[in-house]
Amino acid sequence: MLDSANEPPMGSDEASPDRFPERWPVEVRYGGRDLRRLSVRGVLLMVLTVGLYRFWFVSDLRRFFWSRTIINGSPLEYTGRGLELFIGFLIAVAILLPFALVLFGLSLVSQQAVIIGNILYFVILSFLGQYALYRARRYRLNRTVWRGLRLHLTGSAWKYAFLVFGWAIAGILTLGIAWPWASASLERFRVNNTWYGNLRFNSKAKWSNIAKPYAVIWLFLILPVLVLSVLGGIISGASELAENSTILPDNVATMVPLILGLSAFVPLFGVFIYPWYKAVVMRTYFSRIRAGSASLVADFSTGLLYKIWFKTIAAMIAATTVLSVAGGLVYLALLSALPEEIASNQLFLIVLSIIGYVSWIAVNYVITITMYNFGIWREVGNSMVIANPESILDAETANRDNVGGVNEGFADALDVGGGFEIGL
Amino acid sequence: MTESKIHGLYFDGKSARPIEVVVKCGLTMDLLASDGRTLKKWRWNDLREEDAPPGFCRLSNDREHPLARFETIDSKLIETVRAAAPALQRKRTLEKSGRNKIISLILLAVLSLAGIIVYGIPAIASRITPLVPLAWEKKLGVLIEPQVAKAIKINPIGSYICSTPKGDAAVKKMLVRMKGSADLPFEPDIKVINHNMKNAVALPGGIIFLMKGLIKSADSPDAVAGVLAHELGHVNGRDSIREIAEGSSRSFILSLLLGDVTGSTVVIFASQALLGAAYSRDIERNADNFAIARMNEANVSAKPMADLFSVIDVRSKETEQNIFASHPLTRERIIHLTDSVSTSQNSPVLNTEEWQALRTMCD
Repeated sequence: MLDSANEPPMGSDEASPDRFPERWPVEVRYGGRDLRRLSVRGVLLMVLTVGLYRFWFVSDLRRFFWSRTIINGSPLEYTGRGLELFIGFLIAVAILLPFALVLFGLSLVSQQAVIIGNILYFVILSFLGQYALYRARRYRLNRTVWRGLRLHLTGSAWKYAFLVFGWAIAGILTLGIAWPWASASLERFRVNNTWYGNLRFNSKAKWSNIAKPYAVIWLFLILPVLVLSVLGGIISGASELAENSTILPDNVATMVPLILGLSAFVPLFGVFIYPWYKAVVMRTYFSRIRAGSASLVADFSTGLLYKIWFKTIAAMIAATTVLSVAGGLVYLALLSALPEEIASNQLFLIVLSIIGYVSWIAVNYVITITMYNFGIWREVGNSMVIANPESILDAETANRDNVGGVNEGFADALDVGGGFEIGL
Repeated sequence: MTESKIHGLYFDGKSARPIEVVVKCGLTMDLLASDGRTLKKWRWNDLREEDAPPGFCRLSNDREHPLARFETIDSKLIETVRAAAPALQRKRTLEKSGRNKIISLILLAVLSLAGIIVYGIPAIASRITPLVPLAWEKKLGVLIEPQVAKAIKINPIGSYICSTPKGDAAVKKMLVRMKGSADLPFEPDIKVINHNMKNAVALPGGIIFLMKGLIKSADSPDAVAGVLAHELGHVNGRDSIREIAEGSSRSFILSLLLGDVTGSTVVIFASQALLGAAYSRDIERNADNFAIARMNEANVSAKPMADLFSVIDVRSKETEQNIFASHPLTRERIIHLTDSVSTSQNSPVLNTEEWQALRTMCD
């Protein structure tokens, strides 16, 4: 980790009037102690407010990440505020409340209605979720300022949600093979609607760019999962039959080693190969972003991302070990210190385990932010260069107003994660 | 004192093109173009400092385009500006105090919500429960029965209910004796369940599950009768529907509030268990009092039940599958039970033959 105190001030920027470099560097600096302090404080406040501090916390984190990202000598600026996210969340909850109430009422009335309601809820939620994610993105871009101009996102969020939905159906029908087309198409939709002032971005992403890495993922991750679920279906069907006839079919027994092998292999493969896939896709998509004459180049190494990934996992394991040992010791100490009536009380145990669980989540959350999120942000950012930036210099304001916090409020209220997205 | 050195970049908020400026600090902060022309005369009081990394200073001006910025890394200039401009942090300070106010309000709200969840909802639920039509509760019981069967891991399709003609007759006899003159909202529907759990459960609509494990570990029919009287108390109080209403409203409120990141689902479950356990005590006491009245009327001693409880308590510390998971049993409660049941004479609820029939129902 870099330590801000020992870090020399920014690279010299003694530009002379006619010297505009052909390639603009992107630098991400100063993580370290400041970020750790910020996250520890934020997580603690979040625990105290049952999570409601998240709006301010995530705004602080974004401000931190943005301002540490310096493009050609000028840091990004995040102008979003926690209060507007909070108000947006309240508005979104108020809008969504009737739906939630109807579902709640259904759950009291009849069991069949619950099942249908849940399916309906899932479909609507995933659809609304995509809509909400797009609007959350609109909010984040709108609050991103660089050199006095803001970014913004045009395009209809409903259209985006329909696009995702259509691709999801295509993906299910083709057993996941349609994903590269889907992914590239959605990336183009997002990027092509992104603006810096009056300068429009466009993406040259094509399905063929990610077809090869995706083929690896499909063969070794998606196909085994499909096979597993089909086998699981067969076995549960067979065992239901067996319950009636008390005969377990032989061919079911022969599948067991295959199932065990696959179930061991899939998570292992996921842990080791998925970061590689993510890295390749990210690098490909970033490097295919254009804006006028300018093009983005991102050539971070996959190895560095692996290092961050495994360091984070190691830190989490270490933290978990330390916490469980410490928790055990505290428990034993309390057990011997307190009178038996309290110590053997069920309530006491539940309270203790809640405290233990919440602290475990809090510690891992801090680790994720400081090591993983900022680590990736730094590696990826530092590898970026903007080539032929002339058009960016010519960009002018599009006179866009601030879009409201409700854009992100929906994503938060629907719990689709948009509210906690620190990056763009 | 003009210097030829560029001090920083000025952005007017309308174009992305940087304007390189030399800064002259005096009564105002003057931004000069590289040819010496004065671009801006900024009053110190209008300047605000915006977000920037360490070693960097970014200024905005209240009287300019809201996104107009001056950026510099000149440490001497930064020092001068920070000394000369009186209200650089005004925006940030206002924001911070506003934030602190809201956070304190939220903390208060969390406390009051906790109050609502712990005291408000039970109060509301006990007012509302009597208003739920009996037919609804009956229907709910039918719907919930297979769910409960599933939850305690017995096959809901197969016959998890034990039934023999003699056993059923014994159950009926026990019920008639224990119900006595009580006016229950539902006709109790007792089902002997083929499960080793030492427990009994009252479901909505008068359905009562008597587990095989409980019957088998009882030494006398009076012990089972005592437990039955207690479950009849739950039927009488319509406690299960009240618990369902409370539980779902509680988790509804909590899940509206919490995001996923805090691991809310687990916290919800844990707090459900926590509140459930604390809250059950009142309800259990009521059911106990009902049982005491019934046992006194039926002339059944409480001692066999107390014995059964203490046996289960000792034996099932390891298995956890015992009656105390849902019926927190304190020494105080046992004493209350045995003290309040005045019957000294013991007239058994079932004769030996009937008791045997009940015990072997699931064999």
